[in-house]
Amino acid sequence: MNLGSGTPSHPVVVANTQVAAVPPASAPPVRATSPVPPRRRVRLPLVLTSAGIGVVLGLGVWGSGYKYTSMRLGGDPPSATALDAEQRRQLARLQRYVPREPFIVVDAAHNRLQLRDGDEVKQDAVCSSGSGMILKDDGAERHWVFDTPRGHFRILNITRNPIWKKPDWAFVEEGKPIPRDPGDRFEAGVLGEYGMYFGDGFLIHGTLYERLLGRSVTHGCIRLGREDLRALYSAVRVGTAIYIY
Amino acid sequence: MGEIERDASTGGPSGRRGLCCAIVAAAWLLVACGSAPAEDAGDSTAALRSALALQLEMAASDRFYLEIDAPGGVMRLKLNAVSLHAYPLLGLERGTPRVAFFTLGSRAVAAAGVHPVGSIDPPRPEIRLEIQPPDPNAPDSTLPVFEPPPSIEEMSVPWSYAIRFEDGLTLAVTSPRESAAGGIKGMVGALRDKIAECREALAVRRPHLRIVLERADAQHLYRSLPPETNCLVLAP
Repeated sequence: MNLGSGTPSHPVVVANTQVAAVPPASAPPVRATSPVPPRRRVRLPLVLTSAGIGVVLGLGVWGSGYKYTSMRLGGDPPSATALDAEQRRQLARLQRYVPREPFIVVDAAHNRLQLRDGDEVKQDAVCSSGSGMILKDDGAERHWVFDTPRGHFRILNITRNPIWKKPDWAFVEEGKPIPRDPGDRFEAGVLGEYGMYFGDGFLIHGTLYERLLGRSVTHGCIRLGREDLRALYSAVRVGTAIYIY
Repeated sequence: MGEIERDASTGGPSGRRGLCCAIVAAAWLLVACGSAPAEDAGDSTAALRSALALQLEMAASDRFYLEIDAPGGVMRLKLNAVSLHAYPLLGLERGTPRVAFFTLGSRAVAAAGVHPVGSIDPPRPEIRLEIQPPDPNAPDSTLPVFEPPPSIEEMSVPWSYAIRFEDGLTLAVTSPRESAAGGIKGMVGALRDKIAECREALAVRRPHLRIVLERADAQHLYRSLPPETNCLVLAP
């Protein structure tokens, strides 16, 4: 850029840098101006004010919400001898709810089955639970949701080599007509070696599809692999508690 | 001079006054020291009896419940007094609402007791696929292949979530900071959580507890908490 040619009478601004031009000898003296242009003088307080407001607002938000106070964790539980008679009675009533024999706990979301005796885990197995899928029978305007029920159950019946009496949904799912003869509903060999019935059509049983264990693929029953089913069968009886969550 | 002598021989009125004061002070100290532990013992007995009564109430119910056992340092998912899953607590904090660092102390609400019907926020995505029965007239080769639903481990779990109960208790479940997402995503998430917390803290008078769990435990709880679970908080 050529700054030397001519005799400019006005200041020249080059990329925000002010260069004072040398006035001609005959021209009146130029009044000295501030190095900061007027626009920048206005901007600076604005920027500072905005920044201040931002900081105050940020601090305000940061200091709002909840102030958390830690609650003490741990401590010595009261010993049984330190309890008075009423407390001992309450504790005994509470302990009556907990099964004294082995019981089954099923985590249906994670497809895990445990056999427990008190706090001890005797068996930890991968199982399969309900898929949560929906089947509609458009002809009869019915539908089924294949969820494993949650709650507290008991084994009501145990059978060896159970035979499956196929319900209506099994035929609808296969796209087959529902048989009129009840004898056409029975199918052997698909439920494994043992079936432990716990009500409302639900069982713990074996499977032909062990590769799908650990996935939620059933129609609501709980499937176990062959070895786990055998171990469970040897440890439970009619009346054993089942907790499914 | 005579009075001075009498004082010296009998202990004098000022000496008797001092002795009386000392006896009264000693008696007061004795009573004060003796009664304080008795009151503490009475309080703790009442608290323990109340906690047992609440546990009995929950055990008799057919609902699942989360038992936050602060003295035991653990939260348990229970049904009929049977512990189904235990989540060790890394931290348990009580939240008091505040605005710009000024604590609204009077708005803090005690959380100990029973809180009914909790639900997860943000809600767990519910996967409900529909089974398409095959066309009975179609040849076997065109039968649809069974596609199992995605594994539960594929369900993404927010770093921080809440379980809200009908009576207003909020359990904010979170994990240690190192587990949080970093970068812009983490900052945006933290800001969103902060704004939600501010809104909640200032909106209504509600008990608020923050629970710190291992990330795996927080994920497990999110994925498997049964619907409409109650909560029992056993405070220290």
